[in-house]
Amino acid sequence: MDLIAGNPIMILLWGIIVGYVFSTVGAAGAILTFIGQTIVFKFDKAMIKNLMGAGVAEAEAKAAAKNTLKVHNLMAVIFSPIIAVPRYFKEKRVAIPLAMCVAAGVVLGAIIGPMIPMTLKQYKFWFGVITFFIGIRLYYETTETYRKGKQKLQNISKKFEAKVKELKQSGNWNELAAEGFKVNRFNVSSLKFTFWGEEFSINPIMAAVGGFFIAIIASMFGLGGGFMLVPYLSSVFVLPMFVVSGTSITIVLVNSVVAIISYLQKGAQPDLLFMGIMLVGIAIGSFVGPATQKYYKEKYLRLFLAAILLFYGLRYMGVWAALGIPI
Amino acid sequence: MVINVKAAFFVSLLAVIVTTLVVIISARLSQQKRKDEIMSEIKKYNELSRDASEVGAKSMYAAFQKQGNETLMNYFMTIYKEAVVEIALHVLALGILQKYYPVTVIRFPIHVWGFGDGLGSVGWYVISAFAFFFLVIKRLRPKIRFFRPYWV
Repeated sequence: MDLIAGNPIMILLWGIIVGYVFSTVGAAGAILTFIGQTIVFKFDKAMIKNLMGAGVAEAEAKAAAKNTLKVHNLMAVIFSPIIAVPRYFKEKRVAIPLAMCVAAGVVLGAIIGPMIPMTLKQYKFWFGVITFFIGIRLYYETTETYRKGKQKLQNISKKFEAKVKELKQSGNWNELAAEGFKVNRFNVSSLKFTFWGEEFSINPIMAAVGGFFIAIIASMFGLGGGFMLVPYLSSVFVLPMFVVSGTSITIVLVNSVVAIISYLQKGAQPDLLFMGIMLVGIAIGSFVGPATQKYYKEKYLRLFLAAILLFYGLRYMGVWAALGIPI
Repeated sequence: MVINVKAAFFVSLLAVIVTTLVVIISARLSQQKRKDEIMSEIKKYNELSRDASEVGAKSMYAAFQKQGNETLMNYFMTIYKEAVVEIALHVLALGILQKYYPVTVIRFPIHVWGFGDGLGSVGWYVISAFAFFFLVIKRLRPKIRFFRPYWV
């Protein structure tokens, strides 16, 4: 096959590893996809060489390669919203007034984000910083402190839950779902809406401003932004998870689509065959992962992944090169 | 407007085959049950945190919200698994067309913004796959066993 970089079997195998790890650990899917593109298959270098061979100037070729990596990342992110959002709308799980307020800022942010100048080297450096911190977080999740805390949390929850059950009957989920949402009040400073039987109040300007900054950061790095949106919606607006789930994934879709269009206009040339093979591998790996999980301790996989992320995080930041270690 | 009938036929045929295959595979690997389970868990944490808030247990409220957050991440991962199965083969087919069959299926008489002078094989594939799914698969789903998850 005439791929820009890598051979199809290796790309498929890498995809299986990414899917396996992501479905087992629940993190680092996008980072492993990025590592695969830049270090395992050297996609960016091969693309720069190809473009320069075709007479494109070096600076333009590097910019195209950087933008293509971002589009590949966004492509890996966008698939679940594409499938999930229409279903969420059908099941009335999207708080549309809230989504529209945040999306107003997101569209602008996702247009501005790709315009912020960043070289391929700078992009890799900042991606390294993110990779390094996720590695630290994964390591922390393998420690006794974290595990004890989590266990304690689960025990408390169970006791509390049992007590609550004794005191009251559970609500009816399906009846509430049928109600969908209703806007009770909407002006520049206040949006009050009823969603699944509960009333929520937010400041639309604050929602849009938050969405704007999240979209700038996410689109600059070729990310969906869900990891920032979920805490933003749940912590700043104190919205419950069943509101956050459908709403945040809708906003991720808006951000990713706008950012992809922006990067395509800036010369990105996504390799659909490369991504297609990798996605087939990810699909296989994500089903193999949970099926084989019982044969080993998840902690060891998490530790191994943390070590890989810390190692590559430092590599992207140029630490090994600065220390004179030829890795 | 000039239509390349041969190219349109081949690309549409590929779209029909891949879409049918994807529908059968995704019905076998449907995550709907798992998603319903996780969603009811999220709802449970939400109710518990509300109860905790009502009785003034701030730390308990924070704990339930944290657990709800973690469960939500599981939910997103389950959606991703489902989505990647439904999309991967289509992206692969688009990649094959992009690399080996980059022909213009419909040539426009004028320059159209966003499309240029015509609609290529990649664009035609997307239109064919969507049309086949909504016009044929959706109608056949209640009648054909292989197009539905095993418990439906």
